[in-house]
Amino acid sequence: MNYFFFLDHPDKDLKSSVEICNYEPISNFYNKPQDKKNIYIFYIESGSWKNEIIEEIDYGDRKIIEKNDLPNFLKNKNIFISLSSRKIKSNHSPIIDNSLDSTPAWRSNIKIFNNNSSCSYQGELPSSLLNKKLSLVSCSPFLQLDNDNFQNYFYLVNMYKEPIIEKFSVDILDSNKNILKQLTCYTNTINCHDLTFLKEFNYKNKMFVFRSQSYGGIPIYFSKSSDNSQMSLEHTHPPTEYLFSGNRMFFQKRKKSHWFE
Amino acid sequence: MYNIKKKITSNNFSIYLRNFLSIRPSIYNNSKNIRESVSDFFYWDQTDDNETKFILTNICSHVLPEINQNDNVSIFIYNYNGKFIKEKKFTLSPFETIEVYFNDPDLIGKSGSFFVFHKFKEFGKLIANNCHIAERGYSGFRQNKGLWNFVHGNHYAAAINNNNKIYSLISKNFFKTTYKMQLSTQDTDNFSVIFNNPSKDNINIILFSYDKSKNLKIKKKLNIRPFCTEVTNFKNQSISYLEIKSNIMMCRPLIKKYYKTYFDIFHC
Repeated sequence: MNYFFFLDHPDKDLKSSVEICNYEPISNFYNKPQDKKNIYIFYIESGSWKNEIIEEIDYGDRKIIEKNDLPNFLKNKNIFISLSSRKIKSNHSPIIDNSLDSTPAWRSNIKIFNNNSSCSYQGELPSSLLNKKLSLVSCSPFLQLDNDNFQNYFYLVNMYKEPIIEKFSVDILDSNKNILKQLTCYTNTINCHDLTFLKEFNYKNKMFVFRSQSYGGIPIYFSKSSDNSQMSLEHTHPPTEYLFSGNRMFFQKRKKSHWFE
Repeated sequence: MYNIKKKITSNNFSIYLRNFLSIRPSIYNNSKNIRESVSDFFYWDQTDDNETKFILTNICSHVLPEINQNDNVSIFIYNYNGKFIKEKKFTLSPFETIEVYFNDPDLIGKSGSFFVFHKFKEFGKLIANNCHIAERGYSGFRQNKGLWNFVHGNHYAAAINNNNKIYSLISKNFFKTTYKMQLSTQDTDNFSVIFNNPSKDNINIILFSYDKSKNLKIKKKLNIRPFCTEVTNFKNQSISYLEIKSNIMMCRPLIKKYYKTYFDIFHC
């Protein structure tokens, strides 16, 4: 099972959508039922998980879901979307199973857009992560701080099986491990932070490190021109992506240890 | 026993057999030597008002932060026609990150693809863990000096041996595989799909494009020669969705979508 999410933005001119597909990218790599599925949304209300079925989707179909098209009571909530053939009770917690496990990963097009432009990436949040209290080390070279016309934002998408909204800190470091700033994030939330304050720091080394020992998530960086005519969206790789084959997790742990020391 | 079984099932002939029989198929072949560095085959574009940059970082510092060492990087640049243009060399000090621009006079007005290979002395525990250093980093694209639009690496496309020979790691299948894009193109009527070939063999691709009602509109055959880059443009053709058929196990292209005021580029 993979989850997808809306990248809500404080600028009301910008909308968010998820294009969800009920088909795997490569059939040779997928051996599970190719059937009609329910599009589920999950959210937290009064300290409990709730879910709704938006609609059914036939095998082979795609559906673009805009956050603005959801019922009013969901518009201010952090929404996680997925696909499942299962029928569950409305207070069931997010489903954790391997029904969408495929190679390459089963993804959705996660987008921020307005009437003139758009940016997106193919993303997913595997349900296997919901059981884990993750940490974060994200080395980002994406920030465009040298042009006053550009604004930069950090999204951290956290989803955890327990229906708790817990505060945690994300440190922003330079490459010498100096802490430049602490951001406040929350669990089970699509956290979004304006990074304009980073303009006051020396950006010569082109890399900022975002770290948290408490919780992790998907780190995504969004840049835009002040008139919203130009946008860019990309996530950083997990540390394992710097390696090919073998026991890559060994080095992921070491990299995290280095930045947590 | 586990290691012996793993060695038998993960050599390149076994991978070919696994792919042929669709038993635990694999997207990549193995490299020949554990000390070899691996790279994606990245796209670059300096035509018209387009510019490209690459974020080059000392990968040793990311993977082996306890070892204080320089990272010697070679960027091998090819034009769209597969012709090798040049090698650019850099030495990065520990934890150093630089931006490499493709604005040399001999690259202006051109486009193509490039490899980024890292070489260094101390391998730490990489060999014991059977891991290769791999460059799958970040390219930035912009138009008219606008905002940089970033895209990360897509594949473990190729490795380089001690004699500076580059060879592909992309695995193939006797039967064709269909890659189904998990997105539509209905939000714009102007987009490009970008493929490149990191191998020394020609790659044949069939691109199926469908309209909103799932009717096949265009079937296009592409023959991509070694190290070439193929950009297929779709304009005012009401294409809603694409499928890609080839002998490549995962033939995943870049897509560049044009909107009213800017563009978006990502792996689809």
